[in-house]
Amino acid sequence: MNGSRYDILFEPVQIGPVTAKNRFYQVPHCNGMGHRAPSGMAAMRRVKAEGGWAVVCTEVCEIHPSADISPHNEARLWDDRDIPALARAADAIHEFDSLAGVELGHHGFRAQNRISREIPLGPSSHTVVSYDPVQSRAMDKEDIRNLRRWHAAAARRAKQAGFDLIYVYAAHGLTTPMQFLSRRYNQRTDEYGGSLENRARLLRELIEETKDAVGDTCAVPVRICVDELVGPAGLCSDGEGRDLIEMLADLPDLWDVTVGDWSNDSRPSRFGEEAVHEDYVSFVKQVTSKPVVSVGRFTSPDTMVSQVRRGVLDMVGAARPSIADPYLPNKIKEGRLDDIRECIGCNICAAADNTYTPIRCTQNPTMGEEWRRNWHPELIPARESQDRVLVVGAGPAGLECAVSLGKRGYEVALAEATTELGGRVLREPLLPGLSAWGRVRDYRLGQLHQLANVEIYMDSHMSADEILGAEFDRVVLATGSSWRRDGVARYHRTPLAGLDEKAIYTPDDIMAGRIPTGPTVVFDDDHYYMGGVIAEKLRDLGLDVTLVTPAPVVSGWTANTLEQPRIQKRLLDKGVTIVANQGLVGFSDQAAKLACAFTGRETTIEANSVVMVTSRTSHDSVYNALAAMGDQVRDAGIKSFSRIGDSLAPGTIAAAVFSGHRYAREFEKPESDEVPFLREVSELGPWSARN
Amino acid sequence: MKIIVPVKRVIDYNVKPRVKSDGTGVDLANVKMSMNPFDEIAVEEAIRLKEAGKAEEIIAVSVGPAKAQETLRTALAMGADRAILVETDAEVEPLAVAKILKAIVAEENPGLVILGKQAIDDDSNQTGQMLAALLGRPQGTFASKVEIDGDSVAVTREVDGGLETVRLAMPAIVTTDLRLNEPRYASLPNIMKAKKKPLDSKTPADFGVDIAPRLKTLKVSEPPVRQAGIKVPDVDALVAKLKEMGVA
Repeated sequence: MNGSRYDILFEPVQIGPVTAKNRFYQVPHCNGMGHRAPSGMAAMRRVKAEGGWAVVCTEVCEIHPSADISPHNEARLWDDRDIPALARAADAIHEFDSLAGVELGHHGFRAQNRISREIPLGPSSHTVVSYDPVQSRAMDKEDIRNLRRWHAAAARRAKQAGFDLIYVYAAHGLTTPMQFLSRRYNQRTDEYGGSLENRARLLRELIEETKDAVGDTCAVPVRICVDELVGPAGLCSDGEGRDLIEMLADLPDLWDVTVGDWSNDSRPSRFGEEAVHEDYVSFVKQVTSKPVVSVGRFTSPDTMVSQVRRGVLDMVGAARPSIADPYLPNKIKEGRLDDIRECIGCNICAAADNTYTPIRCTQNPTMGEEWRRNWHPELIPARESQDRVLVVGAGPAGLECAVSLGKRGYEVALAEATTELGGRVLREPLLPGLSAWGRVRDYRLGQLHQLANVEIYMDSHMSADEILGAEFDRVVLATGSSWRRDGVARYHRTPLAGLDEKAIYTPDDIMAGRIPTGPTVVFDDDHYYMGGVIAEKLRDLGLDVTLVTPAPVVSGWTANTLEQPRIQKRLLDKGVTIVANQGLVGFSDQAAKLACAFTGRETTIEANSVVMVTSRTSHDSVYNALAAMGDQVRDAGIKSFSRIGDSLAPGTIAAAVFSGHRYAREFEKPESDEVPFLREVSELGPWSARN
Repeated sequence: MKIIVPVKRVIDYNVKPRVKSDGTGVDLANVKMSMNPFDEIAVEEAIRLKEAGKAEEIIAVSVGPAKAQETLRTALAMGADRAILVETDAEVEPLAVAKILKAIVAEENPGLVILGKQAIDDDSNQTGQMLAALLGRPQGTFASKVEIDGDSVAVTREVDGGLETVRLAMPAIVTTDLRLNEPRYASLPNIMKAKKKPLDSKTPADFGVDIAPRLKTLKVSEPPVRQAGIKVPDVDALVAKLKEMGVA
C-alpha cells in the first residue's frame, strides 16, 4: 500500500551483515515443540515468514547438556546431530526471503539438568529456581572457558544450519551471562564479579567470540534485560541497565530489549496494555547506533508506527501477536486491518510450553498444527459438497465453526438463542481485566459479516423438532455450558448436600448481573482464571469477599499462563481474604463450613452468600433429544449431528475455538482409528552401544 | 385496516462495499445482502400496530430480483401476514418503485403505507414522498413516533429544531426514522414457519409500470485513501507548512 501511513513499517533495516526486508521481527519464543517436534516447529516458523515477518527466530536453543531445561521442549545444539532439525527451520524461513534467527542459550543455575544430570553452573552456588533439590556450583575459570567454547561451537553449528542471526541471550534471568550481570546472583570476587564491568565481562566475551566465529556473514543480536524490576538491587533502566547498554553500545549488531522475567515480558492482558515496556526501553536507542527491537503485544499498526516514528524502536518485536496472526505484516501491507486476528493476551500459548505440549492459541486455532495436521491460518480447502450446515449457538466454538465453514464455501446458518452473538466471549470480557478477550468475538463477527453464504439468525432457540424441520444436511450444536451450583468439581465429585440454595451463586449469575449481598465466599475449585476474577469483581463492588480454595494458591493453573503471582497480589492488594488448602463442605444459616484439605479439620466462617466456581455442565439436551429420535433424524435429511466446544465438554476458550475449527475442516472425513495427526518418532540409537 | 410495508434487499450494513473496477457501480457478486435497516423498522412498526389492535393485516412488498424473496421471508418471519414480490432483475429507481406501489395500493386499499425513509444502498430518500404525491395522500416522513387515533395518525418527526408532530388523515404514507423502534429479529424457527405464509409473485408489467431508468450513473468511486501524515517539530514549522499548503 504505497503512500500509506504504514509504509514506514515496510522499510528495510540493516542488521550487521544482513538486511531485514521490513521492520517486523518475530522475537524468539518458546512453543512446546522444540527439539521434540522439529518439523512442527519449522512449519510454524515457516508460516510466519510466509505472513511477512522479516525476521523469524527460534525458541531458546540449549547449547550444551548443562543447559538442559527439560521437560520444557526447547531447541538444542548440543552437537552436530542437532543441526538438521534446526536447518529445517532455517530453510523453511528462507523460503520467503525472511531472515532466520536462533537464540543460543546457556541456562546456568536455571537449568535443573533433569535429563543430562549435569551439575548446574552459575556465577555462584545457588539453589535452582524450581523446588528441585538441586544447587549449582560456582563456575571456575575453566568452566568459564568451557562455556565460551561451547557457545562459539554452537554458533558455528547454527551458521552451518543456515541461520542469519545468531543470538547471545542475556535476559529473563534465564541465562548464564545474565546471571553474571545480576548483583543478586553474582557474588564472585574475581574479574567476573564486583563492578558492572567485571560482571559484564562474560557477556562481552560471548558477543566478541560469537562475532569472531560467525560474524562475517551472520548478525549477532543480544537479547538483554535492561530492568529486572527489583529496583537498585538489580539491573534497572535508570541505573546499571542503562550503564550496561552504554558500555556495550555498538558491540552487538542489534539490541533485543526485554524487561523483567518472562512473565513480565509476556505480560498477560489482565495486567498490561499494548506497549507496556516503553518507559523502560526508550533510552536504548539514545545510547546505541545499532537497531533496537522490543515487544509490547503490538497488534495496532498505528501503535507500531508511533513506536518507530518517535524513535522508541527500529523494529517491531512480537511473539504473541505473531502467534495469533502469523500474517500480521502482510495484512497491514495490504490494508486488510479488519482481517487481523489480534492477540488477546491470554497466554494460553505460554501455557503450552509450561505444560510441555505443542503451542496453541485462542485466536489462531491452526497454531502448532501447521505440520502435524497441515492446517494453515489463512487457507482452508474449498467445500467438498453442497451440504447445508446449521450451526446452533454463536459462542467461540459456533462462531469459529461458522466462519471456517463459510470460508470453505458451505452454505451455513448460524442460529443464536439470544439477541447477541458471542456467548461466553460476549459475557466474560465484561469481567475485570478480561476486555481483550472480546477480540475472539470481534474478529469472527468481522469475518462473518463479509461471508454472503453465512446467514445469522438471532433470537433463534432451536428445539430438536425445529432442527428437524429446518432443512439442513448437517447440524452442529455449539450450545455452551453453565456453571454448576452443587459444588461438584475436584474436591467434591458428588453434589454437596444441605446447601442454602437461595444464597448460592455461580459465575453465570454474576455475569448476568445477579450480585450477592453481604460477606461472600467464593469457592474456587476450578483453579483457572474465573475464581480470581469473580472475587475481584465482587470486591470491586464493595463486598467482603473470602476466596476459599482447596489448592495452595489462588487460580493455580494460571501459573502456566504466567498470571498466578499477579492474580494473587491483586486480590490481596484489593483486600480479598484468601483461605487456601480448604474445601467448602457446607453452607447454611449464614455460615460456610470449611475443611482442611489435609486433615479434614472443620472450621466455620460467616457468609451471607456463596459463589460456586467449580465446574460446568454442558448444554446437551438438544443433542440428546436428537440422539433419542433415531431414524427420524436421517429421515429428515440430516446426515450428521455433532457437538462442539463447551457443549461437548467444558474447557478453555482456546479449546472451543479449536473444536469449532476442527469440525469445519474435518466433518466430511469418515470415522477412523488412525492417529489424527503426524508424529515424529525418535530414531532408535545403536543397540550395540549397551553393555 | 391493512398496512403495506415495502422492503428492499440491500447490501448488508456490515459489509464494506467494493466499487467495481470499471467504476459503474458497487460490486454485488458474492456480497452479503439483507433487508434495508429502515425497512426493518417499518415492518416492526406495522407489527406493533397490529399487536395493539390498530391493524388487521400486514402486507410486505418488495421490488427486486428473485432473491428478494428472502427479504420478504424475513418480513413474514417477523410478523407480516403475506407478501408480494414484484420481480425484476433491472435496477429500479425510486419513481418506478413508487409507481408500482401506487398500483398495489389501488388493489389493496391499505390505511397506511409505512416505508423506510431511505435505503442504505443508494440513500435516495424519495420513494415515500413520491408515492404520497402519486396517490395524492398525506405524508409523515422521518417518523420517530406513530400514534393512530381513529381515522387519523399522529406522526412525530425529527427535525433540526427538535420534534415536530403532524396529524394526517388516513389513508396516509409514513416513512420511518432510526429511533422509531428497535426491530425484532426474524428467528430461524419463524423463517421456517414463514415459508407457509402466502407470497405472490408479480412483475412490473402486471401493473403496467415502465421501470426504465430516468437517471444515468456517470461514475462510482471509492472514498480517497487517507495519506501518510508528516510530523513538524514546533508551532512555527506547523504554521509555515500550513502556509505552504495554502490553508493558512
